[in-house]
Amino acid sequence: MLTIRNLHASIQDEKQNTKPILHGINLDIQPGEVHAIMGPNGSGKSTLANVLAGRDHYQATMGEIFLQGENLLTLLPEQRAAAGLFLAFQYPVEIPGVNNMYFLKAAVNSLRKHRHLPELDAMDFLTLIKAKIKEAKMDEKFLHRAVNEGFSGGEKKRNEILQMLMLEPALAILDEADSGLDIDALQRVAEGVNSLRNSKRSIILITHYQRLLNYIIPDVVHVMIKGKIVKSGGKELALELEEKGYSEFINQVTA
Amino acid sequence: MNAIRLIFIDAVFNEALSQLQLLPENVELNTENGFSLQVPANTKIADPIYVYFLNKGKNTVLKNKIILAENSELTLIEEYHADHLDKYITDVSMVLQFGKNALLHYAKVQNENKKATHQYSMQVTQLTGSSLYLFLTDLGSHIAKIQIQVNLSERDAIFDVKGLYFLNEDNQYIDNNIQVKHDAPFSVSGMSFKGVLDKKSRAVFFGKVIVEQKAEHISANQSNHNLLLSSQAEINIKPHLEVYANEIKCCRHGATVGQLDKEALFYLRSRGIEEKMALQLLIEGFTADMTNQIVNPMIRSYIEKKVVSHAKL
Ligand SMILES: Nc1ncnc2c1ncn2[C@@H]1O[C@H](COP(=O)(O)OP(=O)(O)O)[C@@H](O)[C@H]1O
Ligand SMILES: [Mg+2]
Repeated sequence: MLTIRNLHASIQDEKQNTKPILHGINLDIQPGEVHAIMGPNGSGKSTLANVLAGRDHYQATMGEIFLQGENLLTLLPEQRAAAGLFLAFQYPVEIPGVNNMYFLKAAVNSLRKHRHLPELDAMDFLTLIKAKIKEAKMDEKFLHRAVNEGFSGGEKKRNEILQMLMLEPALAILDEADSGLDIDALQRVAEGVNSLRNSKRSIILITHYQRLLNYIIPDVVHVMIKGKIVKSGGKELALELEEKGYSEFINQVTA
Repeated sequence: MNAIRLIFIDAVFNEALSQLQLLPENVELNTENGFSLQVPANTKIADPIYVYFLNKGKNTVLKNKIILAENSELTLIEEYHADHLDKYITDVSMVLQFGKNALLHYAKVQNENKKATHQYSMQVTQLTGSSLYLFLTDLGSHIAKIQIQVNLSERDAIFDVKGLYFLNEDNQYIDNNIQVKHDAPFSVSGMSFKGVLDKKSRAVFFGKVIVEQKAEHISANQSNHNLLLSSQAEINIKPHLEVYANEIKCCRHGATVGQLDKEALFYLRSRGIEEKMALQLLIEGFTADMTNQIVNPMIRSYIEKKVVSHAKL
């Protein structure tokens, strides 16, 4: 599904200074697998997600990324989405004036167009979204509001899940999908993600808490420290981290 | 749209294409050098009147006039358009006279070609309790100069102008110059505009409100928000308030000039929406709250369609 080879990446700030963040990431994710990437704040987890999604000012300076055989780094953000990538953002933006349902329809039909499928008409789209919003356990009133505008933290996260359910990506990356959620909201998010799990779809869960992984059981856990993956293992690794913290790994890297 | 059509071609009334038969009998219409409408007292015209000025190449001078007698009501859409790409000038003067409690919903759509000069001057006098809801949509022309002078000469008169302008060519220019004189207590005025500017275009907005001494308890608000899609686009906003009365309710004024939200653009694109369409969604989002405020539903849906299809170009 996803192969990352020796990825180095930098962020360019407002003053055009480039700051190297990722230092040689290697990752192999098979179809159907759920990988968790854990690490303390500032270790570069979101940077990796943004490089994958193709955000401006996040530059891969070395290495390569393949998603289902496509060379991701050569694609525009919208082409990456068409190739099957979806990033649930850590901080979803508010877009005043753009109706949530209208936005979702534009997104669904754009992706269908990329895949040479006919656009959904208003009726079919409505049927689809009503089913998905139930699955995401969201109130229908959110469809009629502007995208994320005035949504609470939890509502924004759920709106990301709704988009993910609508777009049915091959690879879903969830960046801190659990931050700021109470247990109830967390369970809903987990249900949404679990409902998408199948043998063809892969999921990357980015988190710095173990908590989410009680609800979405990963196949592989990676520890990222200072822009490097320092250890990979099974789901036990998450529990080990919860117990011991990151300090041991941080010491390793700085040593 | 279910409307009574009046069609002018190069300022000449075209009866064959128009629908005079739909006009209520007691409404007086003169179509020499533009249109002049007189709506008698207590007459409410249910269907909107749609006046279409098509330019086929001539410079035109139009003298339009609407006189609304006491308690009359009218909805009117006026549109300017050309079927060619040559230079021309459209010069319009409009006189609006409101009797007591008369009501006009009035939308003007300026969709001239991109070489045209569009000059428009409007004189408004409003008596007690009359209301004018004016919506200006500027989609075209090389140069547009719009001048509006309003005299709220009796109490409780309401003048509300909203507008959208879109400039997307080098040296394209629009100048809105609006002056409202509050000459009576409890009168209300509002000016609220949004502009989308691209390339090396320029917009000027001059909104002047004069509150005379006897005009107590009036309210006057102004806002002007602009989206600059290019670093070369330019906007000058000059609000001006002259108050001689002691007690006025509020004179709020707000102006902003901003760029497109890059984060929002990336968010849309990350969902598979192509950049061009994502831009369009954001522009529509920026203008939506303006069109959403159009009181008259027929005008609202007409303008929404115009704006959406314009953004698609
Ligand atoms: N937009 C940005 N401009 C400059 N530096 C940034 C930006 N975003 C993140 N960083 C820096 O990059 C490093 C990695 O951040 P990030 O990828 O967000 O980490 P994580 O998601 O693991 O908390 C941090 O040192 C952070 O300060
Ligand atoms: Mg992060």
